[in-house]
Amino acid sequence: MTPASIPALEVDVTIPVGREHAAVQAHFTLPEGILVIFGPSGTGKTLTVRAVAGLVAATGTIRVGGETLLDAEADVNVAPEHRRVGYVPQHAALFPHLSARDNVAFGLRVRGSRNDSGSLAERWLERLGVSHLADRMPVRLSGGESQRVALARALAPDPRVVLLDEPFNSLDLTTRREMRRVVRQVQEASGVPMVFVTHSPREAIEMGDHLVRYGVGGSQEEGRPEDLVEEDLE
Amino acid sequence: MNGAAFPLFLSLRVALAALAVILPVGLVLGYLQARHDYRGRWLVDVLIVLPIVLPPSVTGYYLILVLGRRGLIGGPLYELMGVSVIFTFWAAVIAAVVVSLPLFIKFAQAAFNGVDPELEAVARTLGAGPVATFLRVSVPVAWRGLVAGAVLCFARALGEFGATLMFAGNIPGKTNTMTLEIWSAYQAGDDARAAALVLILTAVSVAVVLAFSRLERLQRKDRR
Repeated sequence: MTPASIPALEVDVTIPVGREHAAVQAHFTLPEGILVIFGPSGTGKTLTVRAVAGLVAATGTIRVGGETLLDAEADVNVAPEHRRVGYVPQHAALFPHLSARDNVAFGLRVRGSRNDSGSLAERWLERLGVSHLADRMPVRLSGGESQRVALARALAPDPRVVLLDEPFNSLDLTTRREMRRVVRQVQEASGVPMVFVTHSPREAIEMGDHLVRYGVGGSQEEGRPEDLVEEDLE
Repeated sequence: MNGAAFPLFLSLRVALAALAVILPVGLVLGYLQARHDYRGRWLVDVLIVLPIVLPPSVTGYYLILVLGRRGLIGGPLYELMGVSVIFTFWAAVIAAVVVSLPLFIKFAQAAFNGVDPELEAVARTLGAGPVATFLRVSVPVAWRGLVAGAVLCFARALGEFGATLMFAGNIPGKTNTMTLEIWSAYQAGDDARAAALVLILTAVSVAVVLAFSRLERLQRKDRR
């Protein structure tokens, strides 16, 4: 757990989008727990998490647990593979050539811990309730199962923060509800801070300890979820 | 059959040596063309496609201009180090590489275009650098398209005639590959020998095509 005095995540960045569009500005702090980025599509939510992961170019500063990942002025820009920032994209993006177990073990193996990576991966699959699917290939997993494996894969290499980009979009309502509970549970048990992107007000209130609301035209408000998305519920 | 073994094995050796050069170069170039947008990309694309479109004898002529004993690179190479590749085994390999590399790059480019970039993004966040991501994710996910490209490329190298004749010559016991040998036998009026050589090369080509179609079937089954 991050000590209370040092925020889990501090973001203050400008992300260029191309000549025709205004750059996305993002400015928020996550003390601990889950931060929800809420707003309609096209407001730069996905770009923001991709910038935190180091997958798109940005200027400004990003700090995780007090450590600087990006500081454009000081010429610091840590490569994605050294950021220790977990990432769960919209469609899980499981490696199709690897079993569920090997997907989860991927991050452990590229970092060099080979011996117990298989059993460590299995432990993560168990924590997410899908240990019985360890040998399955991704084509044979349902949407909800895939997202559980993707979450296990992001958490296994001991990240400092995990980013979830609208991970439940393609799931049915029942599975969605179930997955919200799973993510909350895993977050509380592991203490790993998370950023959760969604455009659903219900999901925002249920998931978030803190919330940043992205508006059309680049506006941003930061606060408690129940204060900021109440009006969107009906 | 008398004297068929040398040209057959020469052709196979040339095609395999060409493949050994083509695979690493083609993988990297195919990936760069599929994933990276850089200035002058279109020019590289044109240069890649050119040897597919150019008549092989024209490609062979250019090879002589560049690598011949009085060539752009071949000249200084010969004068300074006494090295000359023209009319050697390596000339046949170079000719095979130049005509079949573009084919493999095009296949590799298409195969890598089919790999979801999000997979590579996730791999990076999991601690894999660009090279590890390429080797552990991009290549294994695209492998069927890559193998298909390699098979066709091998077949193309095996059948190379025009550029080889221009640049490597048709020296018996040295650069007389199967296709050149068929031509020689036919020219000399030895129809029986020509027919036998044709049969052998046809059998090899059919085997390659069968391997290729089997691979395609596998690919379709896998995606279901």
